[in-house]
Amino acid sequence: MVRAFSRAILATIVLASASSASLSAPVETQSFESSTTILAESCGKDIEANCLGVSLDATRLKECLSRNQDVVSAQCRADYSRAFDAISKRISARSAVWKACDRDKQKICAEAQGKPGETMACLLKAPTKSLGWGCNQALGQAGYR
Amino acid sequence: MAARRLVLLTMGWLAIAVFPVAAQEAPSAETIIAALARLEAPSDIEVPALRQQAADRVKAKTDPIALKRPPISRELTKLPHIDLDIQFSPDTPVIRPASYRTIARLADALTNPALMSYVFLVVGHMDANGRRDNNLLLSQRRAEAIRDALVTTFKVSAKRVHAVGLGEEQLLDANNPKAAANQQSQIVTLREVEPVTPSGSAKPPDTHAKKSSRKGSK
Repeated sequence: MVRAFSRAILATIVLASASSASLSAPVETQSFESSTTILAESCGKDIEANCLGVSLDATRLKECLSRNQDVVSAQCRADYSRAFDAISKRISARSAVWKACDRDKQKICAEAQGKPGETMACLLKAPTKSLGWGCNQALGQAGYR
Repeated sequence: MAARRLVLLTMGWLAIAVFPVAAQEAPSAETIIAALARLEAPSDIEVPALRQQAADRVKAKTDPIALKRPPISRELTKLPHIDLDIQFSPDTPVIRPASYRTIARLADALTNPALMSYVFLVVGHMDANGRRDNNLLLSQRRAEAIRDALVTTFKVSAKRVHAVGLGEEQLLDANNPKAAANQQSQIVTLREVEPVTPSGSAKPPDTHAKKSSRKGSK
């Protein structure tokens, strides 16, 4: 009885924390530095050996590494798609902020006069409560907060 | 006392010996932001004019001796800038994987709110080894490679990053023209971006990319 009760409490706590996490704490996307470092560490040697003449260009590198799947190291094969996906997610997160915060920006950041840096600084300075849920989420995912 | 002096002396020598190695550690995104954020007055540097000046000087063989050769643009040296050690494959504009992290940190910095309002110039430099005209061309293509990586891979707006190669015409260490320090790539803060107005996105696209691809295919 006691055990069932404590299990129920535990379940409630787990559920509550899970839902509050998804509601309030946005998951920050990886920085360009961390995803690109994984790419360089796992695939650096493979790129130099198999992708002659390919510079730091996500499209061409992805194409080269997938074409050479059979010869690249297991580490590279395991990591490269995830690394490129992480870069794309950061790009999307950073560009999504503008749309997500459009109303907030118009409401409270008119003084920034359309300058992107000033507008963003204004949004970040504003109390979380004064911004919409979507804007707060987007700022967190972009790694700006 | 003498022993202490010896220790201090040794430490001094060690610091001198170790410093160049330590200097190669890539600056963090925060360091890049701090270096590039303080633009006191916008510059009126015209990138195509700068490129032309360098080409003209090389063609006319002005200042033939590299030692203490005057820079092409003194104004450029006064703007906020940071020197980055970016490794390329020999004689090519191909960025090596060892430098991916540095470019990624630069992308993190340029898309950070603190730098969002600025337009930047990537400046390629070479040391005074090899032919002067080759150095000018290679530095131009390397600067473009850095710009292209920022634009294609990390989607930094092409309007915000320009590229120019100054070869050995703007030596970073003019007293040692053959030193490797002269091969660093510079990022310079040029000016503020045009403010975004609700209907103001209908600006002509910059023609810079076209010019660069023509040069690059030589």
